[in-house]
Amino acid sequence: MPHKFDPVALAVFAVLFFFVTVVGFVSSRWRRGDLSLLSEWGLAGRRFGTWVTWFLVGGDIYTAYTFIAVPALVFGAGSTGFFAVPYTILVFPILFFVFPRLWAVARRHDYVTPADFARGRYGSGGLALAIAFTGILATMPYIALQLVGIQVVLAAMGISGEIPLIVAFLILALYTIWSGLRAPALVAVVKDILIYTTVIVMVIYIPVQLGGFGHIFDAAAKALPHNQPPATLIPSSGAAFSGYSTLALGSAFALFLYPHALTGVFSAKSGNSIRWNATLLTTYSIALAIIALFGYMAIAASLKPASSSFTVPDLVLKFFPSWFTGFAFAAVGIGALVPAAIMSIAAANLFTRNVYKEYFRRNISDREESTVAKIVSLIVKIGALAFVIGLPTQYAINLQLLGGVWILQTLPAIMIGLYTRWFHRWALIIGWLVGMVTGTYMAASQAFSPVYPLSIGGLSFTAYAGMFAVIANLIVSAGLTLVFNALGDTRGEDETTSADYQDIEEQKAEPAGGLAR
Amino acid sequence: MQNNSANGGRRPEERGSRKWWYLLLVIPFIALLDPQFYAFDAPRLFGWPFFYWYQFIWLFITAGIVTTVYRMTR
Repeated sequence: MPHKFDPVALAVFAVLFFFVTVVGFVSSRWRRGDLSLLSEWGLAGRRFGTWVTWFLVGGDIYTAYTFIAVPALVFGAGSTGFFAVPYTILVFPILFFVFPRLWAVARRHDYVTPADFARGRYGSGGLALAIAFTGILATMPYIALQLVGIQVVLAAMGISGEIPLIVAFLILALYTIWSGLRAPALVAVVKDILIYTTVIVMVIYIPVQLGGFGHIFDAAAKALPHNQPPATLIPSSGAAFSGYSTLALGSAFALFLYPHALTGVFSAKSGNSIRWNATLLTTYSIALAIIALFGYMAIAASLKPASSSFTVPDLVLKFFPSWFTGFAFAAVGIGALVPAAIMSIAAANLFTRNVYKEYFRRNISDREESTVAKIVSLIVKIGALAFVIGLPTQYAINLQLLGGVWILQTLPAIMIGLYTRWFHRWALIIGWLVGMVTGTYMAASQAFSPVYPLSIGGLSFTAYAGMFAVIANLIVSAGLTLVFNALGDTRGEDETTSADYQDIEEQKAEPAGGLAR
Repeated sequence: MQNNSANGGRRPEERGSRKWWYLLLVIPFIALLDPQFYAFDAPRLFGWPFFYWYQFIWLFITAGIVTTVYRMTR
């Protein structure tokens, strides 16, 4: 579909964008705190209750890129793309069971990043550095893809060139520095109102126009086998089954290892805010399942997008008037700003706490710590912008896929570390390295397709590369733990105690005012 | 179900028996992890093939399970 310049859509888009800019700056006054402290700027003072956490984590997980990429995948690859649904379902039990523990220990010891936890738990600066490095590496291409999301909707309104993207970027950078995590938390409220409205309107109106869901699925079933490579409406081979389920499982475990998702966990005011969110976040998954089906609606509407990224924009353009197009595109654009801000804050926290403070300035003052974080959040975004402008989009997509594989390699140190300190710190570092190399090799060898067909002695098993890599990681970590333990006492100090991981007793003992402090 | 939270928390043995509720969290994994058991077109519901509506419904069942575990363990 050709993209013509559309002044009405652009005007609606610009007004909404201006509105969230104001919200972003004003948010610095919300639940006011001393923004020259890292835990105030970067975690909003750990005072977010259930609802703000809901908006914040929702803004984190269901990003502009999700809105563009999931339907694009379903459009091209059919049922495979729907793995996003079991993935976000399985996230909730994991979030509920595991992450209140991390929240509790982080609050007790003022941990701002997952690497802080690894350092405290294992007494290992090297392990913390590996975790911080992985986090920053996995987050950068993710930020770049948010900017790609903005680029796509701008292009769909007939605007090319880099200037509008740079303007959007400047707005984002300035209010992040100004307001810290408070900005994306408040902007996320606006973003969600826009996104939910758009999704509800689209899912009611488009199927009516296309003759109902039955017809949409039938059209997809007919068209998908003619795609290149051929796809199906219902997965039917053993490799498709195991690829589907390991992708869902691996992604579910990876999600809350991402630094930006953990920022949502750390900024909550209680473990129960996190537990409640394991239920409440379902609303986003419902929206996601519907968004995924937009891919089939595009097939049924016989759309031929210039690239699969334009699946949703072209669907909107085909069925709706200009003003609604501007509204829907603003939802995507603002949906990019929220996670990009949280991600750059998370990366900045990691660099400041676990690289700069650890290796360059041991006795850094609180004020300097937050100043460094603000500058780094800017550098991270400039890097992402340069990436999007200078390199083909496909690079960012491939790197983001690798990011999931990489971040999963921090699972033994972080997630298992919450329950046991059995693993040796050096074994964890070497296991991490093995996982990183294995996963990167597997994904790269399949031309950056996430599933890898592993064959050992005639037996073949197809699964998510990240799963194979984390299994290799765990085997190496376990084996070397036995070796290092046999070689003598080289385990680091554990500054945490088992009581630090419990949040429930504490809430009973402490009055509500104490938590809000 | 009795609620003791009013008098300042539960006794340790009571908390121990409540841990069994966490086992419910395993159910969604069992239900979803092998697509072989739900990768069918029929029966359709409102035009949605079984593969799609089955997974969609598990969104709600999982939310129900997590809420139940939350209420029974807090």
